Order: sequence, then C-alpha cells, then structure tokens
Amino acid sequence: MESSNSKSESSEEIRIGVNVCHCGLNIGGSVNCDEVAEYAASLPHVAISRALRYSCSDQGQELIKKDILDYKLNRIVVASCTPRLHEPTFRRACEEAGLNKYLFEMANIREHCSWIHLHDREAGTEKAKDLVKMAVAKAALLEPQEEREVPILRKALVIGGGVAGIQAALDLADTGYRVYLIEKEPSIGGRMAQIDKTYPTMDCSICILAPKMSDAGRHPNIELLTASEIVEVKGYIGNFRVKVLKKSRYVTKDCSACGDCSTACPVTVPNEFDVGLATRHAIYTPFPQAVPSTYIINKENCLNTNFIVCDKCIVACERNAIDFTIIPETIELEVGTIIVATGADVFDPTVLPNYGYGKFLNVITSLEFERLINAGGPSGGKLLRPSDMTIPDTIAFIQCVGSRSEKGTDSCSNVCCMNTIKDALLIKEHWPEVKIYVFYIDIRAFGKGFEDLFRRAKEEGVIFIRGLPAEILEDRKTNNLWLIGENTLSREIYKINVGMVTLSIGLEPREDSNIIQRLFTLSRAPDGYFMEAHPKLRPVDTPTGGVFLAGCAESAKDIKDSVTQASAAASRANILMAQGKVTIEAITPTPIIDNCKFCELCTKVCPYNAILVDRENKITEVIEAACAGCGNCGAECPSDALIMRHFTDEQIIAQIDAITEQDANMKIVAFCCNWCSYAAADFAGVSRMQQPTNIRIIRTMCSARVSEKFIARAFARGAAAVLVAGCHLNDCHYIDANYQTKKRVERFWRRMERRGVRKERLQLLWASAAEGERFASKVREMAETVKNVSSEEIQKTVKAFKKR
Amino acid sequence: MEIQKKVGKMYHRVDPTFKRKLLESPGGETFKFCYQCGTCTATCPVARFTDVFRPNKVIHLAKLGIRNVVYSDAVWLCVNCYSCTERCPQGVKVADVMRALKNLAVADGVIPEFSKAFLTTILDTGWAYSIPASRIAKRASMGLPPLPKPFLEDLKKLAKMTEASNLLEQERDAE
Repeated sequence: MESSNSKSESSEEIRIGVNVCHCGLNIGGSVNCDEVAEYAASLPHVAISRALRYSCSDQGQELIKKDILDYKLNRIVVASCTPRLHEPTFRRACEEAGLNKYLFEMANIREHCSWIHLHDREAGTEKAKDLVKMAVAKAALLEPQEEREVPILRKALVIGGGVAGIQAALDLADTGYRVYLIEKEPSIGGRMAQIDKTYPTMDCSICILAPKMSDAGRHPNIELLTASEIVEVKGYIGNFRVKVLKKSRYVTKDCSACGDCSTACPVTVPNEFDVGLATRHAIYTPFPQAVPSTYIINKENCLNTNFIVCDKCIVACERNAIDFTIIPETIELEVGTIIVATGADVFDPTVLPNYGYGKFLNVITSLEFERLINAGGPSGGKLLRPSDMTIPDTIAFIQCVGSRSEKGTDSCSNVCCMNTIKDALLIKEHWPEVKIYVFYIDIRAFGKGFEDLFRRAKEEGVIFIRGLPAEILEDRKTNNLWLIGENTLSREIYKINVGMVTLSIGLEPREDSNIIQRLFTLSRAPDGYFMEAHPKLRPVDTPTGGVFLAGCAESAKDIKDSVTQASAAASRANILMAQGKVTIEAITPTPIIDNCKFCELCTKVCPYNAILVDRENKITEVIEAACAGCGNCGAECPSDALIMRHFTDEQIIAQIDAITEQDANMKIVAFCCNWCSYAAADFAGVSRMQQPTNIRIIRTMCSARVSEKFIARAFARGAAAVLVAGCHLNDCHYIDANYQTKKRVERFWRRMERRGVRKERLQLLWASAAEGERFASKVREMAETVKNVSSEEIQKTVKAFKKR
Repeated sequence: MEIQKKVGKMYHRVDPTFKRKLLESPGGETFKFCYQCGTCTATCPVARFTDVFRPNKVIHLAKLGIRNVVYSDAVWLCVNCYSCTERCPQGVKVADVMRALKNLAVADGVIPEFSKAFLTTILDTGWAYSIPASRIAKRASMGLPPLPKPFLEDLKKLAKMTEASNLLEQERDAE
C-alpha cells in the first residue's frame, strides 16, 4: 500500500521492462511471442524485453522482480491475459521489488488477440505487437500513485430472509457484527418454510428451519426488518447508506399472537403462504411458526381504507395492540457490507396451455403439492385432489416444466428431480397403494445421497417413464386426466389415465430482480440471475465491491447449497469487516486550480456529487472517499483542469497515437469500459469467438471517460473507425454516467455530419459482461465498414479533425 | 419401400458430413438443439396412427448421419401442422427440419412415388388431381360456373426455374 519507497522520479530516465507471455499454447499457439518480444525491444524507453512461458507463475514473477533490480527498471509491461484477471498479481510482484504498483501496465494479448484470431498467426502477431506498443506508450507516461484507505463500517445488511439470508445473518451476527435482516414478506422463512420435507434425508423442513428463524429473531446482534423494502442505496464499499421503507403492520409490539383478531375479522382472501389453496383474514400471521411472531393487517384487504368502518379486530384485541394510525416509515441504515439473498420465484405453468394448469382442477404445481402434503397445510397433510377431495389412485409427476425450455428458463432448475423423487417417496410412505408415474427427460441425481434416494424410489415401485407428455386431457365425468406422450426409450406412444398431475415447476429469477440490479449496479446473466464477479474463483462476490450473493439470487439451488453459499458470503463479508479498512484505487481526479474556470460543469455530471467547486474562494476539491473514479468529470472539463489519475489524457492519447502510427486506415480504435464492454470482449475471447483483427481496445473505467477530443484525435490520426462501448443504459457501474457517453457520442455524430464525415465510422455499443457475441458481431460489422473507407475519405477526415 | 431399397444401395454407411449439410439447408438450422424429450412425437397427430413416423427419431438419426433411414418414407409423412414446433422446449423447428430433409432427399434424387405422381399431374393438367369429365358435366347441370382455366405455361416455367421438371425427367430417363 505504501508508495513512499517508489523508485521513480519524474526526472529519472524511463526504463521499461516488457514481458511477453506464451501462456503455454494459449498465446504462443497463435501469436509468435518471440517475435513480439523482439519487436518490443525496439520500442522507445524499453530496456529489456523477453518472452516467458508462464509469466504469472512464481518463476515468472521472480524473473520480473529480478529484472527490476538488475536492469534498474522503473516501468513494467506484461503482455498476457486480461488485466481483469492478473493485474493484481503483477502489481503485487512490482511492489515486492519496490516499484509502485501504478507503474505497471498490461497488454491483453490473450482474450483480445490470440484466442479470437486462432487461425491467423501472422495477423495475430501483428496485432499483438500493436497492443504491446500501446502498453509501452502508456507505461512511459505512468506516474506513481498513493492509495487512500477508507474505513469499513462493521455492520452488515442482509437482503432476503429465506434460509440463505437467515444463515448469512446468523453467521455474521455470531461473529459479532451488527446485522440488519430485511424481508419483504411479513415473516422470514422464505421458500423453505413452505416445503414439507427436505431431500435426501427426508427431514421435516419447518422443523429444522424454525429454530434458525427464532435464533435470528432474538439474536442480540440482528435487527429484523420484515415487511420492508429497500428504496435507495448510496455510497460505496464499506460505507453504504441504505434507505429502507418499513411498511406499517398496524399492530404494535404488544401483540401476543393469540389470534383473537383474526377470528373476528370478516374478510377472507386467498393465503399467499398456502399458494392460494387456503384462505386467511385481512389481519393474519402467514404461518404458525412465523418470526416475528406478531400479526399484520394487509391494508389492501382490510375494509378500513380511509375511515374506520369495521372495528371487529380492535374490539377483539384484549391487549389493545391494533393501531390504525401507524404510518409507514423510511429509515436510513449505514452498513459496510451487503449480502443479496433475494431468492427465486417459481415458474407459472399457465403459459403452457397443453398442460391445462388453471383449467383442469386436478393439475397442480409442485409447490401446491408441498402445501397439500404438509401436516400444517390446508388439507392437514392428506393428499386430497382438488376436484372431489379424495385420495387419487394414480398420480403423475411431470418434470422440467419451465426449466431447460425456451418457454421458461433455459437452465436446469437443479431442485425439481430430487424434489419429485422425495414427493413420490412421501406418497408411498403414507399411501403405498397409490400408483406413481414420473415423466422425465433426464433424472439429475447429482448430489450426495441423491442416487440412493432415486434407487429407493425405484424399489418402492415408482414408475419412471422417459418422455414428457405432450398434452393433458381431462375426463369431464371423473375429472381424471389422460396423459398422451411417447416413451422415448421404447418408442411407443402412451396414453395413461391418472387421478392427479403434479407439474414439477422450475425456479425463475425474482420478478423484481431489476430493482435490486439497479440499486446495487449488479449484472445479470442471460438467464436473469445475478452474475458473480468470477464464475469459478469468486462465486459469491459481485462486481460491486462489498456486495455479495447467496442462495437462489445467484442461480437455482437447493437448501444445502444455499446454506453453503450463505456461509461463504458471510465469510467474504467478514474478511472485509475484520480488516476494518479498504484501500481505494488511486484513480480519482486531481484538480489543477490554475486551469480551472470554476464553470461547475464537472459537478453537474458527477454521479456521486464528489466534486466541490467554490467559485468565490476559488477552490475546487475532490472528495476522494466518495469518488469512484469513472472519469466523467475529466471528459466533461473544457479547460483540462482535472487530471484523471492513471487514465490521464496524455496516456490515452499516447495509446491512440500508438495504434494509428501504422496502417491507421485499417484500424478500429475502441474505448471499452472496465465493467461491461471490456468484460464482454474478454468473454468473446474466452468463448473463442473469432473476429477480424482490426480492433484495438483502450480500457477506461467507464465509457464516460471518453472525451470527444479522444475520438477527434483518432480520426485526425487517420483511424478508419472508432467504437465507444459501455454498459447498458441504467446498468452503468457509475449510476448514470453512461448517459453522458451517449450525449458526447451523439454530439460527435452531429459534428461529423457538419464536417461531411460518414456517421457509421463512429459506433456506440452497449454490451453487458455476458454479451460476448454481441461485442464480436459488432467488431465483424465494423470490419466491413472499414473495408468501405477509401484513402481519400480518410484524408478528408484527417483534414476535418486536425487541430487548426 | 421401393425408395428404401434404392437408397439403401446408394448410402448404406454413416455420413459424417450430413449434419453440416442439414444445418446449412434452409429450415435445418435448429435440429442440433434436440435433447430427445419426445414432446414432438407425443404431440404429432401422425405418430398416433403409425409407428413409422417418430419426429425425434428422425432427428436423432440425422444427428448420427444415417441418411438412408432419414430419406425413408418417414419424413414425407409429416403434414406440416407445426404442433411439434409450437411445443418444442428447445426451439427446434421440427416441421422445418422435416421440410429441409425432404429438400435434401429430393436433391439426391429420392422422391416418393406419390409426390412424383402428384407433381406430374399438376404439370400435365394444372390441377392437383385430374377431374373426370363426368364431374364437370355435373357441375354444369347444377348451374355452377365453369372452372377457371389453369395456367399451364406458367406452371411449366415455374417447374423449370425450380428444377422440378428436371428431376421428373431424370427419373423418367432412369426408368
């Protein structure tokens, strides 16, 4: 962290060490690394250049450190993989050799070169040379920086009171941190509270969950906020300010949960907890084990909308615990870390008319089945079919309803196979004479003890048929159901009559995921679940520092996996809070008061209100702790009064110049934001999506860093095309900074029009980190545009944008 | 059956390039996504009446590259009702795949007798089936207007452009 031992002085001669990594055959297979290293040696300021087999290995790092000392290097360039992967590794190596870590620069010749040009070694090598040249040009202008430390509040917020949220909250509270557990429903418990038994051990679900719920309810370190929703999130890692809307329960703390009020209430509505199979009153508690154990009035159901017209509950309550004057309140919490455990929704099978759910009485979903077979459920644990309240003699389970399908989610829901097997065994336990069919595509019994349970089901006589029914038809007299389909193993068409059908519905991302996504600037995978920072190595972190994921918010998973992940997320949050401080990257702007005209344009575009301009006293100040380093202000400033550290104008212009030095008329100068579009280009590389070799990517933290003068510079230097790429609007990691990107690009388009330059040569792309193909196809499209740009046109453009 | 005999002689081995061919022909693009759930066959109105036609089996064999079976009578039984396409969870356009297979079969000179006869009738008479003189007389006796004249020349031009007539001629020559 400390940088006072930096060896670099501005007056000192610049000596750059370049290391070109083979990465085994990952780079060496399609790029001639030795040739690139040789080329790098010829670049200005380069003191030593070598090709390494694996630069990230201990040996590679040792060699880099040794070079720093032996050759008195004061800048290091490594050409290897994406900086999003190994920049921290090499920065650490530099620090260990006494070099400030901001004097390190990386060229991405794997994801952005070798992997996307697998079959053109020559062009790939040329591109790699260019990328190294860009890095060397930037490295020569790098300055040592000092990082600031910010404290981390030792308080955590857990969003979602399902089993994952409860586990994470308990882990953190037991460690000694203050935890706020927020739940949107009146009680914590989540999906697990609705389920009858758990697989593979057949434990009673609520019996093992209820103790955890009450632990969370009375833990001195946990503050439960039920019937509450998050409305606003501000701040940054370690210092979040979260606004929570506490809806009114209209019942005070005096409630003893005796239930007299509910008995007196004249209103009945479907009960959400029993998925509508039973009713509740307007004043109710969702289920007997609810935590907090207190009643709530749903104002939408209650007769007292504006005036008190019905006082049945007030009269019935002996403790006078009902108060209609309580109003919803908004409270503000200050926390250091946040765990998102918002869970999942279930698929709605009404979109599949061929299964007749909602039309035929005896077709139910697996969640409804759980409530039916639960002793605390509406039928008292008796498996009664809805049409005539009798126990059916045959039951069919249909798997993959809404999972692995374009009609629901594309992915496997992970839980339905084992849930069905468990349900089948439960039926066999109570009513052995009931015949059970399971229609499946594949039975995925992948976990510990799952195959045993599957085997037991087969032993008990459950009939497994491979091939889903195409259609369910109802016998109007008996309300029995005909299933028509094909047994794909014997290739025979079956037509089977059953008394009841259970649709094994899959899990889906929460309907309101987009709200959480926007509040915390998270990313979502194509299937809609929240994306982790790295799918393998950082599975519970999110791209937003200090925010972690647990449970079904990340992907569909069962109870055990949710609990495991919750403990992992708690542990990750604990690491941050135990350290008590975090260093903030030194990428914030430095104001140059002499240049400043105090026009306040920067303050207008700053998403964090992190710049203070005092026109009278001639003071311009950047609040570093609040600044996230997007660079929006630097791009907006008309008088060069803000220097964006580590992404200075000079550095970026040096990169543009390096790109356009040779064959500029064939090249696309691209500016990509670190979080989405650069990651999308990485993703295209990891997925080996082959692309033309024209593009050269300059990384900035946000697309809003891209000043119009950069675009003008690229065109003035003869570039064929320019691409500006960022996160989707409203998905920006800097709140709304990319609206400024849009504004600047649109302004530049108008400028191009005025000067007679074709607008197609400047492209704006929004691509999320998961949209590798979107990025790749944009590159392909632009490469076609480049082909149509004549040399006369380039000359004209150069003239149009050259500084007069 | 006649077709099968003929095709059986022509292609009796697995053809690894067949997959690519099908992928590249219009309508065949989606067949690779099939995961054999059986929904298409379960939905298929034809499959309920005959054991010969199993859409998922046809796709499975196409994936394996066994084209003599794919070129059997089976694909021609598809009535293009698109029920399978509607219900496929993986977005396989089953009916379009069947059409693509028919096109590939025809390009390889495999045309079932019925389709040949059908095409010949259309090109010879301009009607989907030849209408007996007795029925025309009956129409006239009932006071119905006379049938419109078929555009034989145009039909022939179309057949030539689509190379349908060439196929028929080749078949005739072979015989």
